[in-house]
Amino acid sequence: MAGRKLMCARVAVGLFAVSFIAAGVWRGETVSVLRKAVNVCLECIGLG
Amino acid sequence: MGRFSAFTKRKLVQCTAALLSNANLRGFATGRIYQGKAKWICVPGLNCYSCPAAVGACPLGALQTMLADPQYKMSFYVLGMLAAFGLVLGRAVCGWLCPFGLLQELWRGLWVRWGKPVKRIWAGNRRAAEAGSMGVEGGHGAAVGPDKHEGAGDTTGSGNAGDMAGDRRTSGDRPARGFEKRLRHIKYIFLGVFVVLMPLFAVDAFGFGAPYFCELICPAGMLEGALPILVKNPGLFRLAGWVFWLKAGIVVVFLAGAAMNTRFFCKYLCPLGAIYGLFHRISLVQLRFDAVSCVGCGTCEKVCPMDIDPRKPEWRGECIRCGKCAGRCPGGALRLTPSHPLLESSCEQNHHRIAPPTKPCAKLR
Ligand code: SF4
Ligand code: SF4
Ligand code: SF4
Repeated sequence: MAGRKLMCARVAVGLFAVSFIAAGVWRGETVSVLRKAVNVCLECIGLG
Repeated sequence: MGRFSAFTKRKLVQCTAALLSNANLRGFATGRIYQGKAKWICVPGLNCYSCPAAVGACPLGALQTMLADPQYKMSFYVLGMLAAFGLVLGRAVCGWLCPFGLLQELWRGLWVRWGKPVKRIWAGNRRAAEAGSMGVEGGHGAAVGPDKHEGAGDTTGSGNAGDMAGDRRTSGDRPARGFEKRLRHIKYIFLGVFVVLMPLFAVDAFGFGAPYFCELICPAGMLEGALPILVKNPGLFRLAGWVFWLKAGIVVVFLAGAAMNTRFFCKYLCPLGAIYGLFHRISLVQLRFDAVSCVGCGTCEKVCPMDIDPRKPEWRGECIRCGKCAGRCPGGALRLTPSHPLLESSCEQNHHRIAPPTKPCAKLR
């Protein structure tokens, strides 16, 4: 990947990451992730 | 850190990362999982959040949960976290931070160190079977049969520090390149089918999907979650149905595969490794190859735990940036370096800029 293209790709992915994390926090996704993570996931341990 | 070898440094980083992701060691004694607020944070590696010691969320499990939830059907947060990890580290997460990668290396190391009696019995049986068939066929092919296998076995049989920690590559008689390369696509199929499509579309009457990769395949859930929880809460066994025994079978296959083939799960099956592999061109941690300095010895390919040739750009998505090849390269042609986020070139540009990739590769063939 050429230097300029690479720079653009990195900036784009960086912006994508930051904006998506912010949008997820704003939508309350972190609460759902927390709710799932603090209970034993029966699917993970094969009992679900 | 200067006193430590590259091997020891990487193992220290891996162990520290595994401990940080699993800091609630008390959970193993109580059989209860950590329920603190920190668990909304996704850790970079595959680390089951049902492991009693886990203090963060598994990104793969979290992604499926959000996709399966009719309220969301999408996860900006998890995708953003994966993009951030991918951009900064790419598959260096696999080489340096993932507890399940470390687990596979340790298991492989145990097998190389202590599995010799089993291997000897296996080799003995094969030799007997081959001797039998040679008797029938008049003994032709003796020079390339058992002898080749023995030689290949020897390369993995001795036990230096690297071997004992599971860093030594797979045995010499591995599948042909083309076939093996195709097998590595399985992880992309798992990613598409079990992590994305099924949680989105295989839903119940209320629109709820399920984390199908966790439910039907993931051996980490069984080894890190089910095992310690069931040891402390044996009463839960009464809930075990066919899915439990299916996953138990998968664990057996996983353990056999990981014993015989370094990083078996990472090479062929892990959707999280597949996601990070997509960032290999842009991630800041890069393995750089200087074709001019390459002396063509092939050592890099021989020591690589992922069984890839780091001189060929088409394998870069499989490289876990462990740096083992760079440490062994006699010409100093390989370097594991963080690159400047905005100024430096990607590994692939480096590859082409210094010399066309056909030149060193042709010399080696
Ligand atoms: S079962 Fe596997 S994918 Fe699911 S949360 Fe656990 S470790 Fe992650
Ligand atoms: S491929 Fe998956 S299991 Fe292997 S080290 Fe990477 S994230 Fe962990
Ligand atoms: S190519 Fe080198 S850095 Fe990449 S996985 Fe193989 S040994 Fe590790």
